[in-house]
Amino acid sequence: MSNHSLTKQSANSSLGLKKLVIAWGVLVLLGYGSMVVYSTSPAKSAVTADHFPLDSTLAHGRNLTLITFLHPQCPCSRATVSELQELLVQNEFQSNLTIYAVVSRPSGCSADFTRGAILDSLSSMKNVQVVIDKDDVESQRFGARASGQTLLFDGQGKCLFSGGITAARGEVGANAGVNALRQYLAGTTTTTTTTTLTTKQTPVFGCSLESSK
Amino acid sequence: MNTTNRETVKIFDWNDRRALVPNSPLAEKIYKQERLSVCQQTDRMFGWLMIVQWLASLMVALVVSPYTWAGRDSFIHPHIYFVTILGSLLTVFPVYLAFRHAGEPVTRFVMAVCQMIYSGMLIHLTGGRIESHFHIFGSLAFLSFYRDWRVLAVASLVTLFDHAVRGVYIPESIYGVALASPWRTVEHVWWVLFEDVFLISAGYQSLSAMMANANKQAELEATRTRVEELVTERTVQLDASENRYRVLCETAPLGIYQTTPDGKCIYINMRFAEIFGLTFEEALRDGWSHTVPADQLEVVGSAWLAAVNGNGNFDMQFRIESENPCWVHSKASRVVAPKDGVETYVGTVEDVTEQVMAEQARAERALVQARLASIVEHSNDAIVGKSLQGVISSWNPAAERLFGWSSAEMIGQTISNLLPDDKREEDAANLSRILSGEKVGEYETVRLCKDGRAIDVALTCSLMLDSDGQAIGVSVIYRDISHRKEVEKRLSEFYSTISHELRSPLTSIRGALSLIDDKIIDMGSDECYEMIGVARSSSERLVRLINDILDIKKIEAGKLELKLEKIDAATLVERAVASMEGLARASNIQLIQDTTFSATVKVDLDRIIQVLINLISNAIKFSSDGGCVIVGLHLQPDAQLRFSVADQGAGIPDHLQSRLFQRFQQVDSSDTRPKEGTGLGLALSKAIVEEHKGLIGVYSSTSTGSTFWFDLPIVDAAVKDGLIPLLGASTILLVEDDDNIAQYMRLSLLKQGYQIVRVATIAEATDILSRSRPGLILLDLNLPDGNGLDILQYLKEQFPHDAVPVIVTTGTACDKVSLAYPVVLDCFFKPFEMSLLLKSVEKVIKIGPSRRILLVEDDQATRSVIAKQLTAIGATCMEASNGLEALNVVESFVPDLIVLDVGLPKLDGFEVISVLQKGPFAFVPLLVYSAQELTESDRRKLGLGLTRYLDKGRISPEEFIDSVQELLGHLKVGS
Repeated sequence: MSNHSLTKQSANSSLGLKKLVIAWGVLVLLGYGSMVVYSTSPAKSAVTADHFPLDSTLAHGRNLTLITFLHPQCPCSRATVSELQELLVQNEFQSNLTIYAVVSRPSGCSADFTRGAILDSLSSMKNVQVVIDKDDVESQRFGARASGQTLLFDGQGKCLFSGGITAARGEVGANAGVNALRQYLAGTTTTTTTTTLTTKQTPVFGCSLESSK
Repeated sequence: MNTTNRETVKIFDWNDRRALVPNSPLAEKIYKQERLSVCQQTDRMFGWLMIVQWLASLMVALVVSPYTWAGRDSFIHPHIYFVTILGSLLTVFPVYLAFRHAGEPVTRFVMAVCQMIYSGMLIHLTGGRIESHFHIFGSLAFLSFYRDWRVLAVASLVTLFDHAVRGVYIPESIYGVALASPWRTVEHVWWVLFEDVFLISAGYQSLSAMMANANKQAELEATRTRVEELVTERTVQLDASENRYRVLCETAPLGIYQTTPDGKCIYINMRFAEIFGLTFEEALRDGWSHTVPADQLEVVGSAWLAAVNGNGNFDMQFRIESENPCWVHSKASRVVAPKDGVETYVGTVEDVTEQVMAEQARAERALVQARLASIVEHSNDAIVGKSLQGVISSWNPAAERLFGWSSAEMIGQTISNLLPDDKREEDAANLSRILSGEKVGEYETVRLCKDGRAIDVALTCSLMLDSDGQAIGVSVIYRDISHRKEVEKRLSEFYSTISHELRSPLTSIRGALSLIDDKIIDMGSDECYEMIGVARSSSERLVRLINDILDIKKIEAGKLELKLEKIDAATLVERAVASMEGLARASNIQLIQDTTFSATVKVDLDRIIQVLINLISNAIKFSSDGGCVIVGLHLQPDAQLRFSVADQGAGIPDHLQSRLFQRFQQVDSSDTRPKEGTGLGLALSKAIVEEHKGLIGVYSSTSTGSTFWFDLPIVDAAVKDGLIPLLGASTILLVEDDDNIAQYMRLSLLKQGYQIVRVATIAEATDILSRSRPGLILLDLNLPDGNGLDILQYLKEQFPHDAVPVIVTTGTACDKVSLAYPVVLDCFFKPFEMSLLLKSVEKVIKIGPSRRILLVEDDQATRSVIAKQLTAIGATCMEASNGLEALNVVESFVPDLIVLDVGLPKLDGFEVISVLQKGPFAFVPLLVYSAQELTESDRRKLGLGLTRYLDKGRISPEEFIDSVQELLGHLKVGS
């Protein structure tokens, strides 16, 4: 085989390889983009009540009531539990705050469905009342549709905050939801309308609490 | 590509711009290969790493979030899809490149991009957990394995881009917080760049080391290449050399071998086997030692062992016994293997039979030629080679001796130089005879010598032929027959003489007896007795003649038997002189005995007396009327005693002196010679002296006469030590080296009655002067060992208060003589008048009354008579009545003679003599005059100098006086 043909073959091979690299690069970008899009896409928005539902079995606190709805098997909700745990570390909140962790137990599911890391974490948290929401009655009453949905009611039952407390799916770290809660709990947002409007709702990143069928 | 790499290297060469510059294309090639190898290895490592990374991610995703939920319904979590799909995109393609396109740049760039995206994905999936960011640092570290800053740059850019985009739009996905400061991105970028700096630096150092190694390896490779080329070249040369060596060994006319030290062959060539007559296998197996014959085996073996134990060199020629016995020459040298030090011997063997045979033939020819040359060289006959034209071509030493010309003078000259004028035709005739085939042998003729003499020769001529048988010259052998001619002449003269000597007495006898028998004279008459006396005398003459002839024959036959005995030499002289007294008186010749000195010799008394009588007889015969003959004894060097007989005859011409001792020689052999004689006496004397291991000779001068002498060895060692004569006041020490002059002066002085001791050198003179004091010294100045004046200085020291008178006789003028010594009485320049010298001597030494005799005799009457007798002859007599008194007397003076009685009171004669023998009187003459019968032992004890023994009862007064006078040296009676 002549050198010319070898060179030509090598050039063809190089050209093919370049095309392959380019194609591959495109695929990688698409894949990476999809992943980013997914991670930053919140769950279905909740249509929560403006006031604490009267028919709820949950007792309304005298001052503030914080309710977080969680799917017991949602991987992303571990971040929500972590954020909640981080939020409740400050004791001053706990004296005038009633906290509920409503764990979804869809209809047809046994009690084992609720067991897992999330439930274990919630159980270890002080001042948090874990409520097994059989057949998702409470979540429907409060209008929660995704795991991680957190609601804050004042003493009059008015909804101060509704949304997620993670920045994205399963991502732990400072986010708007936690910041808003921390402000409500510290009582710093009550006077500023603008601020209240800004932080009243945040996207929720978590599994759907509603079954597909 | 190469250019690009080189430029790349230069960009990062900030410390040492030459660190990444290859030293050679080979170094560059090695460097590139090494880099490619590193990249390929790193690619494969990343391939496996990414697979593991992917699987691990999948496993984590499956464990952590396998499902996503919707109420009671669950679904595969999107993370699983992301890890599976995106992970596979980020894994499969780079893995494919890693294993299919390992080492290519695209692989490592894709690898860098993938790894960084993977890090981003991991960070994203972990919600921006800070720990996941270390995946970036780890990935960069792994990517630095490529040692390619571009890879790190690409990876860093991907990370920067990811951080920048996500940090702005979804910071929670990369920093874990929804609200991140832009500085957060800057911080992360800074850390990435920070690590890049170190990794790039490390990569650069690694590349530098790689380049250095490449350079070194290239150098090694170049060196190895050169070595390999050299080895190849040397191998080719070695192959050629081996091939050459093999061909040489196979075709060499020499046998070549290699053996162990014990002689076992480990290599031979075919020629080796051929020389020793062995097959190749036999020679290789058995070697050659068994071919050496037994008579040479030890020698050859010893030489081999000497070589093995010595310097390792064997060189010998020896004979071998094979199918074709021959001579071989073998040389071998030690070879030590450089690796293991094993010693072997490599050598050659050459068949030198032809050379040896030729050498032997040459040696034999050379031997024959040498013998012939030696014969010619040492021949007593002159051998001369000449061409047919008469040009001389060879001339041997005998020819030089015979003719007087050297070979250098004669070779090339014509033979006519040797021919007397009247022999030229004869020589031409001889040549013609030879050329005609006739032999010319022992042809007696005459040839000329260099000095013009004609000598009798017998010549033998023969032709010299070349290898073709052609005559090229003539060799002539000249035999000197002049001696034979002389002998023949002398024999003729001898027969003439002998016939005369025989016929003369026979004529006298026959005539005398005829007168008586014919009654011409009366029986009983005085004439009758006179005729009887004539007949008797003539018969005695005949007897002597016949005895001489018979003695000569006996000596020639070696049948002369000597009856050796020790005897005092003076006794011999005394008896000989006594025997010849009558003849001397009849011839009116004064016969003087000079035996001042004597010693013991071991001789046949009769034979030595015969010699002395012969010499004295000759001296008397050849002395003129009124002359004198002196018979003396003298000490010679080397303990030799010289007997001399001197006359004042006409002397003998020099050219005749050498022939005197030959048989049948007479100075005058003519029929008109005045003296009778056969010419056998001196020959007989010579034979007798030589039988006594002595030497005989003559020195003679026509002006002073002749002195015949012979030397005999002194045998008494005790006497030899005291041989120096004691000099008395009347003794003259004659210091003269010329024998003729000394003899002349001795004779003259002895005739005047002086005692003479003659020495020839200063050493002998000082030796004598150290022991005694002479009355006068006659001193020659020109002596062999120095100037005679040196003796004067010695005299000053030896006799400071009693100077010895000196008379100088010299052949050269010397002004300083008179100043040299106060008692140099006179100086005579040779030739001088003897009468004047005698007068001068006479002034110093008064002859006669000064002779002092010590008489030791206890009997008063006898002493008185003897004293009167001695006084009557002019001597001064000192008397002693006993031995002790005698010793007291000699303390004051040295007597000229001691007359001693043996039987003495106090100290007898033996005791006196024993004392005197130890003192300076050992040579004083002694006359033992005793009535006792003395045995031979007694006589030996009673001896000083010249000693006589007289019996009082049997000796007449005349005989006593004669003996005294004799001992005093013929004391001249003064007036």
